[in-house]
Amino acid sequence: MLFNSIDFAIFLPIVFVLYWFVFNRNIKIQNLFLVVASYVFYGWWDWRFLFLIALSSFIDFFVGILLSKTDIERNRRRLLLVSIVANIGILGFFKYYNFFYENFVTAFTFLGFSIKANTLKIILPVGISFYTFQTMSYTIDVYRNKLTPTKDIIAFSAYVSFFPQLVAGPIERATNLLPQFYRTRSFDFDNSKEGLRQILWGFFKKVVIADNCAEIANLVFNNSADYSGSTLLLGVICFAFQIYGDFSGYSDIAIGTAKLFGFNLMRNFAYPYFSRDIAEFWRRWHISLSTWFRDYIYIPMGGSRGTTWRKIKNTIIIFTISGFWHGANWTFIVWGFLNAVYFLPLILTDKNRINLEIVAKQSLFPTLKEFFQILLTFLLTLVAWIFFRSESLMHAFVFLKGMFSVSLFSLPHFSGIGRTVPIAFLLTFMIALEWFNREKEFALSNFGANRTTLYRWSFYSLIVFMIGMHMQTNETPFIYFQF
Amino acid sequence: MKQFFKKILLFVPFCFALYLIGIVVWGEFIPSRYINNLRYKIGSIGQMQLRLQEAKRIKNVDILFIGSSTAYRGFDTRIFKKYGINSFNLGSSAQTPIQTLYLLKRYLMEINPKLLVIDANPLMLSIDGTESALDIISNDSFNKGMVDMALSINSLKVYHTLLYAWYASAFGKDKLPIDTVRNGDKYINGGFVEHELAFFKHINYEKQEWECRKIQLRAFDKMIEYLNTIGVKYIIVQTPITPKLYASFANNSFINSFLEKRGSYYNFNQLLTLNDSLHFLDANHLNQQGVEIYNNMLAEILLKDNLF
Repeated sequence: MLFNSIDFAIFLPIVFVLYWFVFNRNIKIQNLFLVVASYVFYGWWDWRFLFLIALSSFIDFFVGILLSKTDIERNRRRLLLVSIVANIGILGFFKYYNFFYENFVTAFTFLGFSIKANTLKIILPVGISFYTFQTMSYTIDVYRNKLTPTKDIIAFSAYVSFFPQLVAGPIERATNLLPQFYRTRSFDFDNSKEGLRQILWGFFKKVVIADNCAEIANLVFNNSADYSGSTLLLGVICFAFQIYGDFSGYSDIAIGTAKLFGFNLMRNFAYPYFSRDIAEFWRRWHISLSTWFRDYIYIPMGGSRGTTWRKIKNTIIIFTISGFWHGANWTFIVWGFLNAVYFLPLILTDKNRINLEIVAKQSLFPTLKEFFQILLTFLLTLVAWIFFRSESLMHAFVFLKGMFSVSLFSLPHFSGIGRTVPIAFLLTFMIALEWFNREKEFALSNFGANRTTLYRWSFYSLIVFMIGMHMQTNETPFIYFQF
Repeated sequence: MKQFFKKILLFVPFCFALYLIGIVVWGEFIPSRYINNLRYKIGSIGQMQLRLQEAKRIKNVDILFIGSSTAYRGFDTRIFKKYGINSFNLGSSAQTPIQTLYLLKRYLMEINPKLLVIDANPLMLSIDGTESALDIISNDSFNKGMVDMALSINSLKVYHTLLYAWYASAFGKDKLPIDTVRNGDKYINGGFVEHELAFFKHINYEKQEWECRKIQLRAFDKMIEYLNTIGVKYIIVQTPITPKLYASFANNSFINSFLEKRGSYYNFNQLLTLNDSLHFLDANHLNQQGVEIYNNMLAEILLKDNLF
């Protein structure tokens, strides 16, 4: 079920009312109801893949139980391995089988061997990368004795399948989310209001910003050979805001929805395009994934400690894996690698943690230096996004060549140029609102606390109006569903 | 919780009121090309405003033509006049069966034709009807039938435009005078639109299929049911498109079979031999030379078969 669908607009109020008024007597029943609601939410797309979620949940639940029953390190490692092999196995088959197979065939063909290519028609289950990582984090934390394994299979199933964040995150840690399923939830008026504000802002970013930017980005990327450098630049800028609006919008809707049910999910985006360097960008972009890789792969490998060579190796590995997580295509791998290249100078000079606070804290505007740092970081991300969005590496290189040509200094021109005017206005609105509220969790957080109700409600109505006026009339799926 | 629901119940009407004001303000001041979901344009392609103004005056014709642009560009009432047939053309841009039903319910009884000629363009069975609904809402005077039509289409763009049309009608902003000649199109009394003579440079097409929407097929059946209920005689025709384009569709037999079952049916793609370039101004529309050949043949069939 898509958040931006009529189905969800009906589903959410029904689940909300049943959750708080019918199944509120007993925490176990309330959790069971959440599992059922989450399975309905997921099964709306394709019920057959519910089996995978159930399988993943059962494996990690029982591995957790067994881990608690043994102190023998060798056995504990084996159990951990069972969980990792099962989860990565499921992920690998559904997401990466054809990639590896095709590359295997290509490599052997290159070496002169003839192999008949038989790829499988595999449907990628929505959100598989998210929930497998979430369940694995549980087992790893139990293995590390950071978490007491749960004996409540309903709470655990609810943790794995919790519908607001099931298909596109944030990728929750068991240490944060699982205990919330043990506690009795009571309705919190302020938290729910905040949730609604966050949902509203998420919808604005998704249906107004992302979907409208997508129109131009798709046009330019799908016909990149026909356009001038400046038009290609415009296309990639639109894609940068499309992916930001799409993914951070989804996260906001997910976090806001969870608040309505009395849950607090982790923050996933913290104004990444206001970053002054790439290290800061990665602390602000898809935080739940970045920290997952940091905690479960990067730090165990030694992180930024040790020799220069080890720092380089670890940085390249972690970013490349991150790229590969996004999709089974060389474009994503190069996108990850490119970010590692951006990151390396900072880590090698120990400057990767100099910009920890939000830019221009307690000031209205950034300094000139900060402004140029933000601009440079944004430009670097733009170049990387070209690889992320392109169909193939060849497409990306041709796109780059076309963009960095003399025509970069001409005026952009394409059939939908008139659409850029309202989109520029909407982008300015979003950027301004996010800039002036950048010290808050999200742009509308606690909005207008010192203003009258009339002011706040008028502003919310304005956003509702902009959504109504600019949304695409067909339902558009979220980009990150495919990951 | 009580407070939460109370606030929501208060906010919803407040937001709706501001939303309505926003629609009026935007419709008034923002150029339509900058607005995604509001398209109120009087006298847009197809000269629908002039046609509907005339439709309100026309009574007791021999033949009423109805359909999409292939109809208003394809049935020249002046040619039928030569055969002694009084006719009116109620075609409109991208008219789907949903709009045909709306127009028939609104104008058929008044016009009171002896025969209704329905131009069933298969392309119109495959689109959602938004474009045509916007055209009609912008050019017809506001009425309840528009609400039913909007509900059938269920598109935000149509709802917004309908709300703005309601305001425009209430404040007399729906009566802008428009030219009879626009962009090479000349409105001819009787509803026909004549385009400057042009010739189409033919192209080749890949094999394709008409992809009919269930909602349009259902609307077509509703329209036939309506005509049978009120006892209006009708025939169904397909105005020719370029032979190459027609031949590119693999499922023409399905369309033929669907239409044959719903009344007397004449497919002029099969009855007429036309040339892609000489008789068409684009892939879907006849030029004036093609219109003359087509209309002469149709008039002869109507007279020969005593269809009215």
